[in-house]
Amino acid sequence: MADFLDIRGLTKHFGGILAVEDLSLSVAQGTVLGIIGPNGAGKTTVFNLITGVYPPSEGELLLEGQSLAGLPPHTIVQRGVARTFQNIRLFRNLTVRQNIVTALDLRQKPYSLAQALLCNPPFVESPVKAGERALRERAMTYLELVGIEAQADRRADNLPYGLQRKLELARALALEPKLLLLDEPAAGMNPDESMELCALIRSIQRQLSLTVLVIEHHMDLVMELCDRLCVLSFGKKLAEGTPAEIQSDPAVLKAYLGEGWVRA
Amino acid sequence: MTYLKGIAILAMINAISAVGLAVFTGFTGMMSLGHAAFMAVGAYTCAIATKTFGLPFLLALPLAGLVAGLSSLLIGIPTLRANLRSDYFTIATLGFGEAMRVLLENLTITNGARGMAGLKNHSTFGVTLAVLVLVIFFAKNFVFSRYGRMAIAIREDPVAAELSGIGLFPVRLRSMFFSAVCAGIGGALMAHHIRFIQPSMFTGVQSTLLTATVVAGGMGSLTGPVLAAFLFAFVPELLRVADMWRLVAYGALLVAIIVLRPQGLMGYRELSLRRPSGRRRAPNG
Amino acid sequence: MEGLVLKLPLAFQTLVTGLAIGGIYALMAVGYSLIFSILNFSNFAYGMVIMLASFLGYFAMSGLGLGLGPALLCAMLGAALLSFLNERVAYSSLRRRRAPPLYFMISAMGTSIFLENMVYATIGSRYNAYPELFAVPTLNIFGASIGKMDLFAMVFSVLAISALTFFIHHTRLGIAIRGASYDASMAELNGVSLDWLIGTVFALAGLFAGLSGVFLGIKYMAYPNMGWITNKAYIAAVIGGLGSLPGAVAGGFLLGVLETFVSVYLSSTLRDVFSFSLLILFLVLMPSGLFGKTLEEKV
Repeated sequence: MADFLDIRGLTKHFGGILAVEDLSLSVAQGTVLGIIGPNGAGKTTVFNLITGVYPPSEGELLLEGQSLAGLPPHTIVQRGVARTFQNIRLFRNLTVRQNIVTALDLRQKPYSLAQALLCNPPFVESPVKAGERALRERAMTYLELVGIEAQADRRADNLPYGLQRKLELARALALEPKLLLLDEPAAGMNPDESMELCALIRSIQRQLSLTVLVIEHHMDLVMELCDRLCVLSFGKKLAEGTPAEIQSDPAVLKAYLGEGWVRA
Repeated sequence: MTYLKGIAILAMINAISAVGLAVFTGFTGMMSLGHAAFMAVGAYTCAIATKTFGLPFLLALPLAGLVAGLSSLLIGIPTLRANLRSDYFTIATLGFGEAMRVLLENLTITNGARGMAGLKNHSTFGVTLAVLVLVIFFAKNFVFSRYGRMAIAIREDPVAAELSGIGLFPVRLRSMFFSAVCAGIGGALMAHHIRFIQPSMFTGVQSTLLTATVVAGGMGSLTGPVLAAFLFAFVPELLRVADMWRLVAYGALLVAIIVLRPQGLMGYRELSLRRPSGRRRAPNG
Repeated sequence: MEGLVLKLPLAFQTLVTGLAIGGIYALMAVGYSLIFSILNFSNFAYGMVIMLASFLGYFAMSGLGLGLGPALLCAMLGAALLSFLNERVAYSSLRRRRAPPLYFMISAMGTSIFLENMVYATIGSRYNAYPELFAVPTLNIFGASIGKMDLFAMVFSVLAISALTFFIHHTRLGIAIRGASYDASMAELNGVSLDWLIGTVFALAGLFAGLSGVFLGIKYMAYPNMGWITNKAYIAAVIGGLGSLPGAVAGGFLLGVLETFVSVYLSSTLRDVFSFSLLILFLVLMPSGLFGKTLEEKV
């Protein structure tokens, strides 16, 4: 029986540089896997490979037994994978609510192009206007989920940094994913904020029974949030196990955690 | 009066093409240096249909839009499917525009570089105004719908859009098709307003002017470019500026706007009767 | 057999003519590629810098009566200054606020319309012929005739490109430029300010614009509507692979030769359609060109 997400022999090189080398990983449904490792270890590249931003050079990516390798990103999203970005990527000139509505469209599709063009006279009720209203209302549930409903009509660009991260999370959730990839969700947050975010992610994950992959440098958050950890170094898997196992793995301690703990 | 009417007709014709380009550049974030070619295709289609085949103008006009739209697929499908970097795409449209012009100069049916004269004057004030209103109606419905929202998402961040499940190729192609149809109709109206066309009327300069209209009017706005089209038609005319100085000013204006006020006249806003126009408005916010 | 003997000289002549124009394309493409490699965008205004350089050379020779050497120097320095100003006015503030590529392109286009029509409005649309430099302008090599000026241009192009290659591989500044073309933050690591580095690259590209402008002017005269030929700079650069200097050189010569063959053996009106079709073909099928690095957007 294959796992929920199955990565086998995943390799990516850019020209002569090996970014990810022969990575194999299995993730069970409904669990949280943390990917940790020093800068340049290839963590974000793994996310880019899973989401189809780059095609893998070699190896297989299976989601519920179906291959994702070589599919374009929007098809992979359709299959149930959503992500956030290390450098926040919002639709900056849109309102907070419209950011969510944009993502909702993937599953909702309330009206057709012909309806949009031909059946939407000004000042008169139409399927288009009704559809848009429904989307706007639905968007609020996602904003409430992460607690930024009060900001619904602000421009995304004008949100404070921490709320932008939450908006990005809400937008990913609006895609109704089975697998959620979070790329440094707590970057730039202080310890209090990051623990609050950790609790939020945990509760959403349980509520929606999501499978989550998370890249993070805040060690306390990682230990708190993750069921299992995978340590990457120079594109290769150094170790894998429960947080407790990783904490006592001498190779990991030497390569990474020692330094990580000191910083934390 | 007829003099002012003539300028107004020209302004509306430019506005029709500019509204189309606004959908492509202002809302989808793609730059084209080849839209004059779509105007040319529309102009020639309409001229040949009415003059050579005796088709009524009101049939030839939508035909011109359709043929221009189809011609945009010629360049749009290969380049947009390949998901070229944005500047590569722009270079490709420039190449397409040039190639199209040379083609028109060498075909017999277009009468080569000498062009086609003696076209009938069908682009009256009323007809042009009606077409402009229709084009704005469709553009507004398109832009403020889920289809427009997908285009805007791509303008804002193509990577985030793709990872929100939006395929770049169909959305960009749809916007390009729409803008080419508008340009084609604009070109057809132009042909039957000036009553004479030749390939040299549809050069890169014309494409640039259209882009300048959209940028000055404001990215992410439909009414802004319409406003700009009228300003660009009337101000130089009233000041009696020589043609080349007009272009010098447009060039300087483009740089100044992008450097100093990238939102243009009406960036991300619309002139509206319903709410104060000063309020920032996100589509369907 | 007889036909072949008769046709060979024409083919050889075509090749020589093609190489002569290809040398100038290579020069233009090098400057264009240089800017691309550091800013990662296509500077559409570059062609107009070449056009203005061509006028500078013309005025230096016809107006001031200077010889070819000083005229070249004038045109190169003038174009370097112009190119530098182009960046400061049109791009530097966009760069600082990390504007989207669309804005750079619009700004470049604005600059280009401004410069072109400025020339139309002030100097006029006339064709301005450079003074004749040699009493007997052509030379005979193995049965093909080649302009002495073309030969000089070709040799000089090769020299200039070699000098540039040496500069970016063996000087501190050159190495910093190469580093920054991979990752802009590298410039700071090398202890050079990015602003200054980018200014230098534009000035350097301007020197090449100056050279190619004068050679183009000698060959085709100086006039404001030179855009149709300066456009060849980016066709050549795309063929070779944008951002690659050897690519720009190869692309320039290749384009020159292919184009000349098309115009001799098929039809001269088809020449530009051919070039632009080649451009689109390369963009779609081989966007990294013959020598280019693959450019994937950073996420």
